[in-house]
Amino acid sequence: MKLVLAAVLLTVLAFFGSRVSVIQLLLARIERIPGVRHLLLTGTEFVLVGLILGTHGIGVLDEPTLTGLAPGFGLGLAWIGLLFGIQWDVRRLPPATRAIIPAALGQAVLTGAFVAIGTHFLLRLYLGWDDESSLVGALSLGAAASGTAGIPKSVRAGSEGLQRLLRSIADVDGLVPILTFGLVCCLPLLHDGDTRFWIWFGCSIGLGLAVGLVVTVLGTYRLSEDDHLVILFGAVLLGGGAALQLSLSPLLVNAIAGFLVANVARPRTCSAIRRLLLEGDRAVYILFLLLAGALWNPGSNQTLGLALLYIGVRMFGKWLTAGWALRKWIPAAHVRRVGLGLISYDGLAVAIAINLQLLTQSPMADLVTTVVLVGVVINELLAPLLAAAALRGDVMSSRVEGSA
Amino acid sequence: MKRVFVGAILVALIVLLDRLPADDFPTAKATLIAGVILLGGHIAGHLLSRVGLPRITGYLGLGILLGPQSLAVIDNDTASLLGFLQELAVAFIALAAGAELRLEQLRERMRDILRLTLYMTTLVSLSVFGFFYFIGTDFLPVADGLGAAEKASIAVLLGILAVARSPSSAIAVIRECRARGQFPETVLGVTVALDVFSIVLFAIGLSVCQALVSSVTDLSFMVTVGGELVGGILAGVLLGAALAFYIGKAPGNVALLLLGTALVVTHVAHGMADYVRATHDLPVHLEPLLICVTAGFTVRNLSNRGDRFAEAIDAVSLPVFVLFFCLAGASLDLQSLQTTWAAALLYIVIRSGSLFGSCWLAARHDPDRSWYGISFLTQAGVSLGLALEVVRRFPEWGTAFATIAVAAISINQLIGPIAMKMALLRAGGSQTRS
Amino acid sequence: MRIRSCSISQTTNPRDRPLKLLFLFIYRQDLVDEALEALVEMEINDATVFEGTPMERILADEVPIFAGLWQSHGEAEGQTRLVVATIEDQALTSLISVLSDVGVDLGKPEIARLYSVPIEYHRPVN
Repeated sequence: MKLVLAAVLLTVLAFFGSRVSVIQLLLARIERIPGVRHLLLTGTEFVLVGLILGTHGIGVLDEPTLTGLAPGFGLGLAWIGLLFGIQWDVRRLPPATRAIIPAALGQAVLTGAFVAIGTHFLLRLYLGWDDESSLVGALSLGAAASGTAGIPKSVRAGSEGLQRLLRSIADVDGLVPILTFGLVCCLPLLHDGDTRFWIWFGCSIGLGLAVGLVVTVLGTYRLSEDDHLVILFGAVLLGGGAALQLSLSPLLVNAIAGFLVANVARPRTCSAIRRLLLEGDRAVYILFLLLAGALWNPGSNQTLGLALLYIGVRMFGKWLTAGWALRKWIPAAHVRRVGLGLISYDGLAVAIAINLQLLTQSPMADLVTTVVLVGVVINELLAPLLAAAALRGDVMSSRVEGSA
Repeated sequence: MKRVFVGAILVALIVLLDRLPADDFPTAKATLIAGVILLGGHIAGHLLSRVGLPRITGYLGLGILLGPQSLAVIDNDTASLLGFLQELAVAFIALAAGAELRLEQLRERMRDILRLTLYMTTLVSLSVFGFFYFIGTDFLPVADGLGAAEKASIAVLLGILAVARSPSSAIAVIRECRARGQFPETVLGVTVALDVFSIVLFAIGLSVCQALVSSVTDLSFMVTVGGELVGGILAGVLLGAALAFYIGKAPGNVALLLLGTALVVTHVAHGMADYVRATHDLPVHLEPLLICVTAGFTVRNLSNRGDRFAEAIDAVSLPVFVLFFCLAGASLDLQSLQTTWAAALLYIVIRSGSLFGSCWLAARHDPDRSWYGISFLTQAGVSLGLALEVVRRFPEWGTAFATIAVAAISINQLIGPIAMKMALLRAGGSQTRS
Repeated sequence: MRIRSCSISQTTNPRDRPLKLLFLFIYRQDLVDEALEALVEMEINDATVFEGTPMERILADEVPIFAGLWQSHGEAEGQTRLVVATIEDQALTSLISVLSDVGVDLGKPEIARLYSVPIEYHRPVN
């Protein structure tokens, strides 16, 4: 009974949360503060709602309930993965986006590596963890740190071209967290010590291709809207369930499936499935914020300290690597502050935390969740201010105006 | 051919996943199987529709193939974990059934619906009861060694069981054929009415049987059932009003809301029944099916949100049907047919004949009267529920009774949709679009 | 907007065969083919298809969570198709019926919208 009520409560909250206007209406006054407005726009307040509902609050979303809801989380992860992958129709990517891919991926990889290395040492030396756990934890945090969320159009400062450039980077660099965490899920710690890393990676790819092939082949028939919905749910449940069963990443598996569908399936099928996936975009994210909040264990001071350090390291990493990645597009005098426009956390960070919790209920997963959530909340408050600072003035070179 | 290829991929995936070292994660397996059911059901439905059979036969067939008595892809643990989907689906389909009933059309056909319902209820139950009481118990293995009172009880309960129908199958076939017109609307109206009648009849029948067997008359049960029916209808009206209000204020994601409502209604109804039984020792149970049909009817006909409500139901009904009928197929007890096939076949023949005859008599002025009888063959959820209640009430012979009932219901579940589709396509008062 | 083709319908006498100019907005990309097939079925072979972006998409302040890439190049491609064609007055009702049959439900504004204006004058004529 509790499980059902919890499921319904989550659904209602996710439904309300995805309608931003409701939240804006309720908090019309305080949302004039830029950071708060951005936080509300992204729905980040639902982390706090989840915390209230979780074990450390009123206990509606306690551990047995969350375990019972696990298939729903797997479905959500698979949904996100498929949605991400299905956008990557390489034939239809605009030239501007293609041009930015190496830079976007480069800054994400470097930021992730920077954060992962730093975190790995902190976990080993500061918290005294063993090699394996600190490696998985560090790589997960690195993956979560590497992605970026786009700047909302309401943050208007500087030129349109620069905004578009930063948004393009944010759109593209999500590939790095998905791939990185997909690799993390092949490590021995998550497979009872099985060291056949490449076998598990091959399984991820094979599973993704199989799911994608199923959707592609079924899509060759003339299907109704109902049939598309059946196929979509079938693919998402199949990919998500199979990935979780093998302790792989549903995000990566379904992203591969989505990529195959985007590039091989009939345009009509691809378009119909993409449209259906988009309808669940915000609701799934809100749901994950609620779950992450419920799973969050905010009690430990050590973890909080690590979280703040992590945020600082990530900001520094973004600032540094963005400068290097965007040197081709931005004049040298201004390139340093442009990185401040890439601070906002990608929604994939929360998804990675949830994914890790599903695969291993351990202090390591709890730590990753705490660090990611604190980072998300603080970043969402700071991101618009930093972005406004980054975009201040006319800092564009003509190359950006032409290519973004 | 391509669909067969996809089926082969699914089979290969299941086999491989079974062989690879995996964590003991039953909910992940259940998620994966749900995906296989949806994709496989889609394929099976389309393959069978190409030879003129209704898609739900494909879903049922797939469920039987994957079920515990065949390939055991859906084993008992998985079926148990996915059980909530079945409960959700029954309630959701009841909402859909309520939404299909249009007041203005019901008013026009109220006389026909009532006449058909009364004729079928009376003639079918009396025919089946009469046959098994006077002749048929000799053919029933369950009746060996039982006294006259028990044999009479079995005949009474078989008679009542014969009246019960399956709104879910009716809705599924009507939607697949996109049938409109006097005939499908009458069939649906009668189906819903029969479900209500069968619940009342069953309550009366159980009281009568208990009186026969134990010589103790307990009329309080009848009062309880009356209260349950009234309570269910009231709860349905309130729920419908709440849904209409909510849709008016927040029209987005209505489909998600309805799925959640179906789940909550089922669990709250069962939870309340358990609570009342535990605290007051009363067998009061508000029927989720009745609540949801009433709620759907209320929103569709007594509010101005009916169109939005109907659209939302349409948007997600196919995945719900696929899951429900596949899981229903997986739960069919075909092994019981081995021991009880003769009795089950007798029951089916008598039932079908009396259905056809009663409809022929009731609709004697209707040009489609010969098609009504075969539209009511399917039996499912409510019938199975009634059979299980018999097991609980009469433990000495209830299990054997339920075996026959389940066997007959299984066969009816398979042939019923085929017969109904044929009737919808052939009846003059039915316009269909495949 | 990118214009794919351009041609003008012809008639012998506008007064004998009153024509309407049809504006069909299709918001679902997966229904565009069906809509064009419906026009062909009604012997309308000279329609022009424009691509555009709905106003609410341009003004939207929402932050895309996982679909940012699609929103970017979806905008570049255009999510709305506008079909402009000429049609005889009496054929309009049939066209609406045919569109409905292929899934372009004009009763749902989020799927498609249809407008027609009478044509007073056009060139060339036969």
